[in-house]
Amino acid sequence: MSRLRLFAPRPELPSLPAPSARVTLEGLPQNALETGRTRLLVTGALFAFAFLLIAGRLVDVAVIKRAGEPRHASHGRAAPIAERADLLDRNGLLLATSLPTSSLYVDPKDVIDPVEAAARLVGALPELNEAEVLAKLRSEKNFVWLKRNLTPRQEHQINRLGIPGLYFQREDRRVYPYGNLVAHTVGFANIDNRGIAGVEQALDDVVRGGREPVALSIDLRVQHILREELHNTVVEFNAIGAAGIVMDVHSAEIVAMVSLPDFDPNRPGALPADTRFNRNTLGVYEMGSAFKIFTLAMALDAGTTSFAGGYDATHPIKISRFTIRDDHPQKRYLTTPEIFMHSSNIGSAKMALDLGVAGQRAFFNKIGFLKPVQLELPENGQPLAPHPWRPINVMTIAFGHGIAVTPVHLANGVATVVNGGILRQPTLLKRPEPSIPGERVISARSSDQMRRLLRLVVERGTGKKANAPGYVVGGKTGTAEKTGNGGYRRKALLSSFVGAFPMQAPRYVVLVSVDEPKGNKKSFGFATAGWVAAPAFSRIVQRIGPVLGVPPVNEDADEIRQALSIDMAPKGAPKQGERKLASF
Amino acid sequence: MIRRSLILWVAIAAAVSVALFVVKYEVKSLEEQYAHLNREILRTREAIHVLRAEWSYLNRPDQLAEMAQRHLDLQPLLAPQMGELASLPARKPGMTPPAPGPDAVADGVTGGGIAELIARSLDDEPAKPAVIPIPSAKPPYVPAMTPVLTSTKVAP
Repeated sequence: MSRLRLFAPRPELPSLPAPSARVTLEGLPQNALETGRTRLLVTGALFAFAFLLIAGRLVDVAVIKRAGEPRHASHGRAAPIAERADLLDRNGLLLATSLPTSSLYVDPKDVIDPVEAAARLVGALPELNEAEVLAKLRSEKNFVWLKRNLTPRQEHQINRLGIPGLYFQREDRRVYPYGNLVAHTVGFANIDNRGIAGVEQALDDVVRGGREPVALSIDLRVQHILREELHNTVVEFNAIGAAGIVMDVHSAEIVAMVSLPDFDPNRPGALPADTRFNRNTLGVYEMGSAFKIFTLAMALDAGTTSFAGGYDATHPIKISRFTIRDDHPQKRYLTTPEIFMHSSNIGSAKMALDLGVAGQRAFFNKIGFLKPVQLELPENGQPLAPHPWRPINVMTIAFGHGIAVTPVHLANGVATVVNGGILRQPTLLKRPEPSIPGERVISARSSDQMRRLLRLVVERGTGKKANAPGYVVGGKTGTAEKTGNGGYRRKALLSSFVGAFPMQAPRYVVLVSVDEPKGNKKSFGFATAGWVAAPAFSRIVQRIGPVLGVPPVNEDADEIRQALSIDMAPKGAPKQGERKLASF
Repeated sequence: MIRRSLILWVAIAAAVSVALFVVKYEVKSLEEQYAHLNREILRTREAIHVLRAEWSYLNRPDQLAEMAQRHLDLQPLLAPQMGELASLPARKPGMTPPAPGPDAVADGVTGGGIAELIARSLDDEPAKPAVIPIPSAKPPYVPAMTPVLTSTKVAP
């Protein structure tokens, strides 16, 4: 019986007496049988096909595709622990992180005895107000926060009370382990984990839902040194505040930035709002003589003066109701390096006049002093420039009055002047590449001359106290009278020192700015930059030098001397100077 | 014949079902273990996360500075304390070389000079720092500055 019966003709039944007896099967019954067979055939074929498919797929999955199966169980990318990504300093230290906490809420419908529950709750959490809690327990809603961000101990206590209707919600709490140290830069987030200040706000979209921690350009060690020294200076001179910046001159990364007074981002509301004011980025100030750096840079770069040139600074300049006089009067003809060294207002005003309104404005525009710095912060101050820009403004701006910029502007401007003349976009984020393209503002030669001039100020000029042996610092003092009551207040000073080190090949710019210092016995009553900001600058450089890996050098070595020497023109008026004098 | 194959098939079927049963329970227990491990990993990661925050809090620079002042015999490194290898005095003639290198005989013991000494010492120990801190006396301990603003404790 090996033949398939479906196809077989019906078997002959020899025992039947006569074929005629089978005739009854013909016709209708015969047809029905044939239909049944056909249906069976089709169904069988379908099933066979389906089983074949399954078998084929089995072989495919089990044998052929097996190599594609992962050899190890993987849990994939683990879900982020927190809602907000961590913020790190440039060395990976934790500036801001989110910690899991529990928050207590109540579903008032589930509370059986609100009065008793309220009393016991306040017993466990004494900071709550019983009347308020009772009102919450009796409210008609079905979700009321009782207290956010409980400590594990408090959570345990609440659980032990066993009050029905109380529930915990896991939440993140933003924590800033270093507290005040980086307060203004990092900023803070509110209880709903939204950044509302500093980098936390500016990069809110990146930080929220981001898994990768964000590395800032801040170096915590430098930040600490800067803050401590500024703090000491504020205490020593009884100042109302201070600002300081350390910036990499080549990458324009801000390595440290301190604004005093500061606040604790863990409790931002605990201190008055003015502590949250970031002097470095939001405050605009007239920077005083520090601006002579730019007057000299633009004049040297434009070629309107040279090291051999100079201006007569014998008499104060009288223009309309102003008199421009020198704080360290020499009452004689001064060469260009001498103008810078003695911080002569008269000399620099005359120097700027030779450049004119257009030249000065174009330079400040090029170096970015007329628009806000695009730092990764929500608070970037708009500089105040004169409008209209008149020759009198040109003269006052030459020594830093009449234009107000943020300390970040100033630091970046000095970085541009000393780094070879390239302006780069300053940043608070760690740059993956140490050097980025920038825009040339002054020539490399002018930059080299400016380095010599800045060194001269520290070696022989108004900034002698800024010297930090071994680190070849250079810089410029700037003492500005603060404006107020429609004029300048002679007693309210902003004493700044901005400089760079090591001057033969600058790597870092340091800016120290002290707000309203009062002179003391040690400074012989002086509150000017040379007595207040310059010593702080010196201490800061000496402490951050080793941290930043700047090797100290012998300042008297020939190659250093050569790189920074200035051929001081002989005293008296050289011929070119006379010609310039006549032009005024 | 039929009987024997029947027994064989029944045996196979029984074996397969037993194997299936065993494997199924094994998989189930492995899955439980897997979930448990995942929970454990998550808990550990959270713990690490919290401990990192605490570590950062305990390593605040002002606190470290104060503790270093109180407990260590160290003080901040100043520029005059650093020197360069090149500024070391040259070897006096007649002195024996510190370590006879393979080419010590060739270059002449007395004529090597400081440059060769540096080159050799750098060859031997490439990681040797170029500046050497020179110890000096520690100044007396002064209490750290009083903070202007109080900081809060981190709730761990």
